[in-house]
Amino acid sequence: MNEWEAPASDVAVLTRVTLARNFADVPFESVMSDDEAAHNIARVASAIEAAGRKEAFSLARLADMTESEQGRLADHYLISRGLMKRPSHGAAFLSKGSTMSVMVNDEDHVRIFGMLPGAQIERAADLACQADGWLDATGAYAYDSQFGFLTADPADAGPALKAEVILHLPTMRAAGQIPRIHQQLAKQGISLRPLREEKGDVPGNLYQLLSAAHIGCTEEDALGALNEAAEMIIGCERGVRRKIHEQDALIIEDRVSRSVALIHAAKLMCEREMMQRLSELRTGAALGMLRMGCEAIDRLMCDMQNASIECRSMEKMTERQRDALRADALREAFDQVLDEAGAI
Amino acid sequence: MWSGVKSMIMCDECGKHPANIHLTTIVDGEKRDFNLCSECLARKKELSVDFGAIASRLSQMIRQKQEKAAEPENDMPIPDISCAQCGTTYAAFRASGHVGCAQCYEAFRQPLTEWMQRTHGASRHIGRESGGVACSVSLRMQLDKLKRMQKKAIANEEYEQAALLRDQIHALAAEMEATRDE
Repeated sequence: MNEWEAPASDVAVLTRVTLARNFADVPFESVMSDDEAAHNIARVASAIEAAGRKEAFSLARLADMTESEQGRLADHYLISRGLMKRPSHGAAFLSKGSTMSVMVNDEDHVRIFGMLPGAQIERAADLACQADGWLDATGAYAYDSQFGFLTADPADAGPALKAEVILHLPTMRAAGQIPRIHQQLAKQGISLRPLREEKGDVPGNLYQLLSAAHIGCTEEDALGALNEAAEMIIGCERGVRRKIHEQDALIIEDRVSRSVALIHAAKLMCEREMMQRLSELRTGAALGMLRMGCEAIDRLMCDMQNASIECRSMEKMTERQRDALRADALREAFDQVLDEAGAI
Repeated sequence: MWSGVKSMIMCDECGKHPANIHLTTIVDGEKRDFNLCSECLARKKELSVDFGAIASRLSQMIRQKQEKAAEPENDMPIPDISCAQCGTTYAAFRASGHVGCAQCYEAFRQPLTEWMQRTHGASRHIGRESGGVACSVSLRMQLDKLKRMQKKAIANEEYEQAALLRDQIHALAAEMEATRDE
């Protein structure tokens, strides 16, 4: 087995480890009152304060936010889409470096995210466990010696851990290798699926590699299996990229240059095209064709999505206005990244 | 089990005709031998059990059991119990997939244990514990990895490498102990 090449950001966009936790004295979300929901938020706030981390976190209450503002947080992986379905009770404590998020009143009372760019499964798990320790110190967790950490859905009980790596797999997708890998991993209980799927397209060629620790397995079992699977896929994507690059570098250079030109020239750009152009650039950046990092492109992918663009205007926009604003914003942000990096 | 061998001795049943069949029966683990003529054998077969029919019935039962196992939910009776704390019934949990509160786990302990066993092949938590000693996941994973490498080195008879790994394992274990003490 090869040693892990951290953080492998040429292929891996983000690692996120989630822990689901509940408080023993409050009913679960489906039967929870407004007062009980507020009590959960206050309890998490005091646990973070008791850990001396109050200044490092900001509170986002979904009830005080527009749908676009909530969507912007979800696009940046800071909250789940599920929390957006519970806008009256939902809240999130977001760390300043965006490496931790403690969602309150989702399907479970608390869902803790530990997040890092690239493939850093162990370190992301440590972050989540760190925040878990602060909340566990309240002594209020719903925990059972047989069932482990109790969750609203008993299928998740036990370690109640989920770990995912977001992967950029443009060449494996083009080579038609995803279904084969998906089948291979499914036997080990690991899923590889499009991060978003729209009309048969996979925006940005982004995939989610997901592993969950169920009852009867340890956190390390699930994280270790994910680590091995991520290592294998990253190696595979790199191999296919290298092969294509060796066979016909010009075709990749052509695509990257066209994407750069389009970003500079476009006056209207829909979300789907933006994801496609940035995906091409990400491949170019990973192969050293652009003097800009993959992480900068990942930030653009998040910042230029519909919800984030809508947040730039106080007024409600039409689809056309949004696409026009995106084209301008992308051009400006892209040039700024290039300036900082020292051009192509 | 039937087994036949030709014989020149007289039939055990009628004593009149030479026995041309040797019959061995095993009933409830007890083995019995008979020497029979063709006529008595035919009578005994009529009174005896039809093993062919039994084998066919058994294979049918096994098939049905396998089909049942493939659809574990269909024929399982849903217990008529509810949580005293929030009032959620077990039937409501099975319909929605969600329990109402932490106490539901206590109320539904037995059926939940069986359900988890069927779903995940396990019903006992073996991971981190609440209120226990927090130990870095990455340290534990690193330790597991070193142990795997040490095992591989020993299997490959790379004893020098295995000794180096053993020292690293001891150092890491000490680090984890120190983390616990903090």
